[in-house]
Amino acid sequence: MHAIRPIGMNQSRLLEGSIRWFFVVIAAVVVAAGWGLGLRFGDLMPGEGGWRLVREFFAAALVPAFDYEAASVPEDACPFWIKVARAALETVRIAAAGMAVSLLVGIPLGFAASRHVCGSRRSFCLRRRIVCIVVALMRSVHELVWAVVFLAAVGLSEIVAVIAIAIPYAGTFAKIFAEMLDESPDEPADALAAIGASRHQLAVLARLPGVIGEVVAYAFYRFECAVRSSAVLGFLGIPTIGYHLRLSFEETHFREVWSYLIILLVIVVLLDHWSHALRRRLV
Amino acid sequence: MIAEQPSLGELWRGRDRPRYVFWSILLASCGALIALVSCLIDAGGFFSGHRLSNIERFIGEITPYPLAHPDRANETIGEWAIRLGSQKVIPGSWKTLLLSVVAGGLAGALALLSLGGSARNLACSRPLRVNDGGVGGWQDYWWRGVVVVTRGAQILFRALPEYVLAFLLVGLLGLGYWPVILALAVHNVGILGRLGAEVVENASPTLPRVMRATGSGRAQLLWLGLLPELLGRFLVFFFYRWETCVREATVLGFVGVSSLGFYIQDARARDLYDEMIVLVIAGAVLVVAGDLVSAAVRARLGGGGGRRC
Repeated sequence: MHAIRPIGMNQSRLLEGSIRWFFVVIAAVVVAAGWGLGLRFGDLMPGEGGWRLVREFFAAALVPAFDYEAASVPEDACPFWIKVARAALETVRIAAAGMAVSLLVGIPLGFAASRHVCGSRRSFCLRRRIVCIVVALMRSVHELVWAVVFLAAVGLSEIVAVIAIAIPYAGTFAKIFAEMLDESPDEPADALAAIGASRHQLAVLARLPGVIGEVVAYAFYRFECAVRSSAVLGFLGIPTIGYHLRLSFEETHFREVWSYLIILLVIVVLLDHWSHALRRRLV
Repeated sequence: MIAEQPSLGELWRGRDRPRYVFWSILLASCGALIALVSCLIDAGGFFSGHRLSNIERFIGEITPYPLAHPDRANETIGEWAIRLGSQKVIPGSWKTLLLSVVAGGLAGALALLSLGGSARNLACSRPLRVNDGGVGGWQDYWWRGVVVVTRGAQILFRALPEYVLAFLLVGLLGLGYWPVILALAVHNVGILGRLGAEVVENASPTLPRVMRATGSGRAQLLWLGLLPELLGRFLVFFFYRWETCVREATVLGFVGVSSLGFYIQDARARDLYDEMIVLVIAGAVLVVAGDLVSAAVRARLGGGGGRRC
C-alpha cells in the first residue's frame, strides 16, 4: 500500500467506457469458447511417456544433428548438411517464385481494386466490386487448402506449390495495395487532376509514388511469410523444409528435426531483419 | 526575393537514392525472377497429356455425386446436402471458430502479460526516464537481460509457422485441441507482443510519468496508466490477428484435430472431391465472415478498419 495515493490511480478507470466493456465481453466469449470445446487444463499435462518424449525433444535442441541419425544410411546418400541446405534452398526458391507470381498478378489487381481508379462512372465501380470479390475469394482460401485442391486435381509438384502460394498472396497483396492507394495523400493527385491528368495517370503518377516505399516494405514482409508457407507446404509432399522435418520427426530423429527448425528460424529471422531495415529506410 | 526554383531534371538527379534499398530491391527481384524461371523450367511439360485429363476428371468429380449419378446414388441431392452439412460443415466450422477464439484470446492475454518485459520504456531500471532517486548498476543489466529474453522469445515464436508448431505439439502432447490452440497462441504471442510493445513505447508518457513520480510501480504504470488509453489500439491488433487465426485454424485440422481442415483432408483421402469442394467453400465463407466481423469492429474502434475491399 502506498501512503500517498498516486494521481490517476482511480481503480474504476479500467472499467470505464464501452471499450473496457468490450474487453470484458471478449474475455467472456473466449472462456465460453474454451468451455464449448470441453478444454481442461489437466489435459495440457502430457502423461508419463509424454514427458519423456518432451524432455528428449528439447534435449535434442542443444545438439542439433550435423549428420544422419539413422544407424544405416544408403551408400549414395548425400551428406546431411547438403540435404538440409537443399531443403532450405528449395523452400526459398518456391517462396520467391510464388512471390514473383503474386506480385505480377497482385499489382494490377490492386490498381483495379483501388477506389481512385474507379471514378464516378457506374460501369467502372461495378468492375471494382467484381475485382474486390475476386480478391476476397483468392485470399479467403488458405494456401495449404489450395495445395490440397490442386493435389486432388493434378497431383502435386513444385509449380503447383508456387501457384498455391501465389493465389492467396496475390489476393492479400492486391487488397493491401488498394488500401494504401486509397489512403494516400490527395494533394499530388489534386494538383495533377487540375492540369488534366486522367484517372489512370493519377493512380500511377500521383498515388503510387506516395506509397511505393510502403509497398516495397510490405512485399518484403510478405516474402518472409511466403517462406514460412513454403516450408509448411512440405507437409503435403513438396521437398521443402516441412517435408524433411516431418519425416525426421516421424522417425523420432529429434536432432535432425532441430537442424531443420534452426535453418528455418535462421532464414525467417534474417528476412525479418532485412525487411525491417528496408522499412526503416522507406517508410 | 524568390529563390530560383530547381529544374525538373535537377530534382530528378538530386532525388534521394538510398543505396541499401536499391541493392535490396535489385537482389530480391533478380532472385525472384530466377526462382520463377527455374520453377517453370522444372515444370516443363507438367500440364500436358494425362494432367489435363486429370483436371477434366476432377471437374467431373466435384459435381455432387447424387447429381452426377442419380441412378447409382442411394440418396437424393437434398439428403446429401443435409448429411454433409450436419455431419461435416457445421461441426467443422463451429470447431474452427471456437479454436480461433480460444487461441486468439490466449495469445492476447499472454501478449499483454509479456508487455512488462518487452516494452523498453517500462522494462528498464528507470521506467519512462523518471528520475526516482536513482538505481542502476546491476539493475540495468537485469532489465536489459529481461528485454533480450522477452524480445528474443517473441522473435522465435513468430518465426515458427503455426503448422509446424501444431505438428510438433501433436506429436509431443498427443492429439487434442490443446496442441492446436497452443500452436496458434504461441505464434500470435510473438506478433501481438511486438505490436503491443511498439504501441506502449510510442504512447504519450505524461500521465504515467506523473504516476511514476508519485510512487507507482511498473505494473500500475502498465495496467492503470497506459492500458486504459491504449486498449482500443490493442483491440484493433487483436482482431487483426484473430482474423488470421480463423484462417489458420481451418488448416490446422490437417494435423488431425476436427476443424474444417480435418474434414477437407479426410474427403480428399477418400476421393470424395464433391464433399471436399463444399468444405473448402465453407472454409472460405467462414474466413470472409471473420474478416467482416473484424473489419466492422475495427472500424468502430477507429483505426485501420472500415476498409471495404
